Amino acid sequence: MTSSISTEAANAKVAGYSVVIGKPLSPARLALRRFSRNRLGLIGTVIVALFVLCAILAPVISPHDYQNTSAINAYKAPGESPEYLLGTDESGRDVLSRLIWGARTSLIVSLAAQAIMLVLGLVLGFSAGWFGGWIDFVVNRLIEVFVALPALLFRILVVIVLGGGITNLILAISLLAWPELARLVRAQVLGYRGREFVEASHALGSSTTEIALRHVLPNILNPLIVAITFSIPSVIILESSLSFLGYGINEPTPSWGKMVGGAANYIQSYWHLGILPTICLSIVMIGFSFFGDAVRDALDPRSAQKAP
Amino acid sequence: MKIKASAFSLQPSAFSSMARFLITRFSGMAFVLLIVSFLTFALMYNVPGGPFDQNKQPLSEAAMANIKRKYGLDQPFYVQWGRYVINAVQGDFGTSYVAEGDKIVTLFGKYWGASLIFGALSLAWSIPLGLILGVWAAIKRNTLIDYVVTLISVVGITVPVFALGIFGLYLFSIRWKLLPYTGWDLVNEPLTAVLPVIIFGLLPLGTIARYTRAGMLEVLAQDYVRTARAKGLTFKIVVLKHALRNALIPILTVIGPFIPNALTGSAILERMFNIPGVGRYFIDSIQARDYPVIMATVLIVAVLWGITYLLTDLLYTVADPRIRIDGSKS
Repeated sequence: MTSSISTEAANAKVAGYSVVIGKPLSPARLALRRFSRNRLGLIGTVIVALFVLCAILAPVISPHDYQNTSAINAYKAPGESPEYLLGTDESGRDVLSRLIWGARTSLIVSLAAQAIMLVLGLVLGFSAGWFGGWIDFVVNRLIEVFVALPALLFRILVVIVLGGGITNLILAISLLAWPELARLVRAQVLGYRGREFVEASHALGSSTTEIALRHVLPNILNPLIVAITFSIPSVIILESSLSFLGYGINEPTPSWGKMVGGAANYIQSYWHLGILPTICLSIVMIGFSFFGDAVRDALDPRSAQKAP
Repeated sequence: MKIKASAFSLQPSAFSSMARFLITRFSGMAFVLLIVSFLTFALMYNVPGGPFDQNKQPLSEAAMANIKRKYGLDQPFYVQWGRYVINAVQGDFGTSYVAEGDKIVTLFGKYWGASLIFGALSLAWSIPLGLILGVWAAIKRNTLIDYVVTLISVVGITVPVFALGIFGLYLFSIRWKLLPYTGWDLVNEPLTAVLPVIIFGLLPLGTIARYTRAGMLEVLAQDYVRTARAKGLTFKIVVLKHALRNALIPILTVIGPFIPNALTGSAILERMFNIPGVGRYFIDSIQARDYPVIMATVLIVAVLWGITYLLTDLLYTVADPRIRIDGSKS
């Protein structure tokens, strides 16, 4: 709970440390301290940070334009020419530049989809938990419907109806992925609805929106942050899987999944086209997994002991 | 199994609560299916070009109108949907547009076979091995075995299946030439199944190992485990009879969803390894705009999921008699 005052002594119990009595530490400081002690978490953080940096700095650091084609330079292996460090693809485009720009695509899709999911999940989950009654009933049935849909297949259908491209892909991913967040928010809100500080605020005349934003939201922030850190990589997987199948990002925008999908046919002769984006994707996924575990353990020390 | 008997001893009150539970769940499922069919229908109705695209097969206007009349596509949307639902309830899912005249049910029988075998084989090795690795890692905590199991879990859970597939193909089929390169022929060339079955099983393997390890660690720290050891039972008996039984309950919910997931095939792996299964058939059908096939696939997958959730909840009450069917814990 954010309102509890922790001391070094309380901290000592958590970390299994020798007891030092001193100044109280804020929960945020405690969380940061737990986070920085997690070795795998730090490795994950470095990977995630590099991924985000690549995405942001793509226009600056990529050595070539990602869509410059040249027939003479096609199918260069990595290291074959100093100009193209990681080789070139079937139309002579620089693989390294496309990998860097692919990170950007992944990040844009995952953040945008995450934002839509968050708005839907917060609004629907909060309304269901707070108002109950028929709103709760409708939201719960909606969640059941969306959970029952075959996720990947239905998204392909959505992409075909809306057409490919980055915006429609974001919609296809997010419009079907919000139920998990809505469920989480609903359960959390249910737990806070009857609490004294909420009722007191209500008695003082606060509006529902005010209570939601000032009293409930800050209290459910931690589980929400944990859910988001795990949800971002799963959106990246969805994006790359759909792009791999050919129902995602359109040419010429680079996407790791699409690079693998396009190269699957040449893998016998040009391994690097399929393997390099696969390596990037795998490393980033593992990084996110370590990062997410560390965030969860730092924000919710109780779950750290029992969580897998 | 004493537990099983007590959970289903049908006292009058238990029976009526079970009946009520089943009625609620099945009516809920029917409602969900109705909405799912509506959403799918609405999406397909809006696919640009419609099922009989003029670009693919140029037809005279009269012939087009004829075809549309034949499949009822000249009717308004709600009539088409209503008709479909009424027929589907009676077990008639229509005929394929592409394989003309073939009943959907027959077509499914043809394609689902491969997916069922593919999924079943993948689970057949990954579920037991996942449990074994999880228990082993928990017993040998913080040893090399534990770290290896954790690494396998992380890779299996986090790396997407197409990436694992490409790695596997590249290393085992192309680089080391140990396994055949794609294809699916269990009778004449059973080696073709090895790579896809291993890769499809990695996600369940990793997840089950991870949760089993965590569950076992929690249970092994409990007082009754210490008591059992103190009264002189061997470590093996304590682990297998006392700890595992209790650790298994939360793992059931983890295993549950993998079953419908595996049995409906993997569109990605079926495509990558050329397996003639239902996942690949679905994607081909989407490309061919074969509406009845798309509808049937979506509905069947939705039914499978519904049944899985229901069974998982029922299994819960069998594994832990304290959990009652209405969701409360006594």
